Amino acid sequence: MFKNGDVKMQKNIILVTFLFIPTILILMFMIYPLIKLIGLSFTNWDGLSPTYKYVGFKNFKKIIFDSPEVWAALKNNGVYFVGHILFIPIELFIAFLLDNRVRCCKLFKTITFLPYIINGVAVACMFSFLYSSQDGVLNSVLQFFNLGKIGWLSDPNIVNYSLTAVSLWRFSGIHIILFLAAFQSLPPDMTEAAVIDGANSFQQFYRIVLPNIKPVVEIVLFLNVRGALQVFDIPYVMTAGGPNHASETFTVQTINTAFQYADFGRACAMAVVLMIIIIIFSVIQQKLFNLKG
Amino acid sequence: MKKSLLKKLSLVLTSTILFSTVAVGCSNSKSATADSGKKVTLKLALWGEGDYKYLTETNNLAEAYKKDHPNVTIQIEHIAPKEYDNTMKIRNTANQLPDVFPIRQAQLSLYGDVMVPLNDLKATQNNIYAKQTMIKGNVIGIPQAAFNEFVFYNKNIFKEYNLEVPKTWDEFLKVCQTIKDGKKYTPLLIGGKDGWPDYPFNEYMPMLEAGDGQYYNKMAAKDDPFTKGQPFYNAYEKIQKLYDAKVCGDDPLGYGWDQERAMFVAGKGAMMAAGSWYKDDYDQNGGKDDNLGAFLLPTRNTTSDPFYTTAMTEFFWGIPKTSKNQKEAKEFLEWFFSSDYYAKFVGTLKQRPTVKGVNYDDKFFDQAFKGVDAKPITIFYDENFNKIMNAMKFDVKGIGQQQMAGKTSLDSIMNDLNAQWKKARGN
Repeated sequence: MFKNGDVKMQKNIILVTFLFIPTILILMFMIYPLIKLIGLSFTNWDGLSPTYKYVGFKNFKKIIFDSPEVWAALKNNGVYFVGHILFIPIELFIAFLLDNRVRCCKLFKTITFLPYIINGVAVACMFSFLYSSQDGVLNSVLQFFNLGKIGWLSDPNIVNYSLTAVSLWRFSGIHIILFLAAFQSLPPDMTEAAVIDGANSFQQFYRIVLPNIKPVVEIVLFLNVRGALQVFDIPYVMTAGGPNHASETFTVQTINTAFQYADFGRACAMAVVLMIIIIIFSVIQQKLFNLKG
Repeated sequence: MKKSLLKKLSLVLTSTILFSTVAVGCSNSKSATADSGKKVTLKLALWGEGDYKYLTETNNLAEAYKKDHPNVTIQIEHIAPKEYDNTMKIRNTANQLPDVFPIRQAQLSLYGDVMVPLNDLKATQNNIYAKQTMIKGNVIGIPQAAFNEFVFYNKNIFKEYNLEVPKTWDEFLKVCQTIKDGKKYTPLLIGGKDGWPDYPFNEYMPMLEAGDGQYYNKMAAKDDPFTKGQPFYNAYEKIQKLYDAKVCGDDPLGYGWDQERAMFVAGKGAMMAAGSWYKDDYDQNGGKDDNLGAFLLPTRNTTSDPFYTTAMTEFFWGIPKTSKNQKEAKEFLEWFFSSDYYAKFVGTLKQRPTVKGVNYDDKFFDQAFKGVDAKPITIFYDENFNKIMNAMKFDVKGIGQQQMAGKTSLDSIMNDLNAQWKKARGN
């Protein structure tokens, strides 16, 4: 039919054609902005001037050695990270229950996933009213039981936990659905064999289910690192990083550095630092996860 | 063989078409041709909601301008106030700025190299404030209006407690305390959660204390402007007294601007401080005019001290250097600031005009100036101050939140500011 050369040529043409558009799109919207971002991180560009100067590693030095507010912001990100990590066992348990172990599980699945598909800004606005010190629902409930009001968003020691709760409410749904999908992909004969061997529910879960859904757990952990370090909309809309920067996350601070304080160079350097932190955390997490075997 | 050649050809063509579609989508779109006599489309963008409504509905600007300049079509775009500054910066990087647009005063110094100098325009010569707000020796924006700051108050609540409009800072604190003691209303509403609503106090009071609208610029020449006895410290000492009196509700950091204005309209709060722009917002949210009063924030110590009040120029109309229609844009600015249209525009929106000879007659705000010899000070932030502000991330509104929280002593805040300020100046 075809000569060997023709087939090879045809293969190559098809490959090139199929890859051409996605490659161009990736180059245009990912690789070029990334290179530009790294380039700008070595400048003092204010975001408007037609010219800028290269300042070497000055921005990075400033961020790492002379910006306590950056580390304070990262600490706030840490609250989200730990909150979500601690919630993973609960998410696993809920997913376990929703895997045809409770009545109306389809309805519950929808309810669980619903917060994730609601617009983030709408969620933030909704919780702002819930947490409000004036006629807020939560404080009204506390007052009903003759308890004192709590400064959910005004107390610097509490605000990050209040915001983490909103983040948990919003993002747990997607984690539960991912775990659920993993559970449902397991062949039932494995657990059946374990039951015949006399394994109890905990042993089934710990010895059979958990090792087999390891890739999904890894994905959820990666999403957690990325999400916790990049959290933006919830603190930005609900507190604008306040009171007095107490709930400012790394991304909120990056945006403010760029737009409020007209320092795009430093903001780009912050974005590069964030990228490096995410990579480091993910690698460490992966290594720890695979230690056992 | 022919078939395979055709296939290859069609594949190459398809990918070329797709690529060119993407490339065309990313190219700069030209708004109009600039040749004289030819039809030109001038693009305008602005953030003011009331302004946009007036320019597009109440008294259509495009139609009014077309009568005098039939070859020019005006397109007006409204950008949400919160997004405006960022949007303009992003558009600038893409060379997509509109032909004419207003710049917020706080952002003006950043646009020094981006905008066309307007020094020679008649509109500049006729403007009361334009030459006071030059950047790098050029007028890059012509201010549309000047805003005064007021304390808006609920007349019924004042009547209920037999209160009179305060004339000094101590009297103001006393009024707040009397309402607080009544335990029915929040004396002074400040939506501290959002930070910015404390600006009449934390941003403007140091200037009122110094009696100088450019006090921040003068601070830029000092190493320790936050030391005790300096106007900034004195102003913040007064503010601390106000916040410590707990007259802004149980927890002013727990509610934001939206709730502040809702509570004021609902009669749950007696006073709130804001610019003259708030009156329009009050009306639109169903507030009753006969129940609303306004007075100037009295920051002075005694009635024999001068009564300073701020005048903030805003909406600096300018033309970017990237505009293809600079000539037409300049003609538009000349027309806008010299025509009857401008007088009607600012008159309807209750904005204080900046153009010489345009009268200002506002019965509502007149009440605030009666009985006091108010001395307006014009606020302006120059490049030197902005550089230090950006370098140390100087955020007076955040400091206001810190004061409201009341967990850090004023001296500690001021010492910290002195150290940061000195370091930022050194850099």
